[in-house]
Amino acid sequence: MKKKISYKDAGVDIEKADYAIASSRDVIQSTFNKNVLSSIGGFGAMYSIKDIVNQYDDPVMVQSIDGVGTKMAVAQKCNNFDFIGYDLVNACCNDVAATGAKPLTFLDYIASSSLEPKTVSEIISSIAVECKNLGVSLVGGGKLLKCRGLTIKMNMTWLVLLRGL
Amino acid sequence: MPGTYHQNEYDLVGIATGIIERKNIVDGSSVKEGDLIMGIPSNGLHTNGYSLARKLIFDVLHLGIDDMLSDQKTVVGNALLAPHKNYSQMINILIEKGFTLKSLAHITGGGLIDNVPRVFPGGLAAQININSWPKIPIFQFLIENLDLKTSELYRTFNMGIGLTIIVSPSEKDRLVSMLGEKNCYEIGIMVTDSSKQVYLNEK
Repeated sequence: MKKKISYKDAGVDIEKADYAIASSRDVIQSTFNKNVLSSIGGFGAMYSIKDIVNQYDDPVMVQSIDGVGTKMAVAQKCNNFDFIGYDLVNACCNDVAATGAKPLTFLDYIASSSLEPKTVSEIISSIAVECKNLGVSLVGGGKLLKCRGLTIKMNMTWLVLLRGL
Repeated sequence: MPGTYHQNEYDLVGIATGIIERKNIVDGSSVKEGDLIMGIPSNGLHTNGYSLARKLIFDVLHLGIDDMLSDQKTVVGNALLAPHKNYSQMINILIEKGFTLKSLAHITGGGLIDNVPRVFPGGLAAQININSWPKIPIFQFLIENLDLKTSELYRTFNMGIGLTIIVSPSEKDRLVSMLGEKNCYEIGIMVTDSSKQVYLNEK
């Protein structure tokens, strides 16, 4: 006999995830420049490099991946996510700049078993604000939201990138 | 991935991508004996050492986020959440202005001990005077409350230096006047030594 069980019954509430994305949309878009070709929700983040590459004789791409570690636990304890995105952006951009390079784009990945979409939205906004401050485009508009023990994939870009690395 | 993350635990990861002219890559290969190690201050722990700091502050000393550190002025929560400082803009500007930065070390996990030697050649060592920069309250607190060897302390935490820049002595004055003397301390010197490590000195 067929069972009537919805995705929501299984704990995945896409509406809640949509809320997190929608409420950060403006601030994410504020980090975009003319080189950003993709829009939020696309499968792959596209960034035109023609104009930039033309300024270099022998351009080298520099990448760095990092996290905020258990500082997140302190942010949660204080219920203060205002600067956790600054931490993340600078942990990575400083690494890129330690080679002398200029950071251009940023992708992020949030995973949890119990995050509220409002908190996710605050974290993403904090990331976007610091990206904007630095002139870095937050091109990975995707989020991997693991709400209440389950996974909501909003965009595969980050997953693919993380696996690629 | 249900079951991957415990209740109330979460992960935040980022990837930055940048670009550089190949001949301008800063890799430390030109560092030589007598070059100076300049330290750029951090704001706090940045993103490293939190497991130990949390254990000490919350589990062992039973302090709360609204309690004060031993200086009675600094609130625990604020000290721990002080944002990771950005150095990329400063680095990019220094390079644009023509400074010769021989080596750049972002002081993250592993502290000065493990990060500085990543970017200087073999046959050299870094002599660092740990009293050459002021310790902000969180680091003073960790020094006072942790019974740890100095080398362990400086491997776990950045101890107040978030970035090191190695320059030739002739570049030092221009760098300090550009950044300001409270934003750029001379913390050490490169010496000939086969160990390729950091020596921490009290003076």
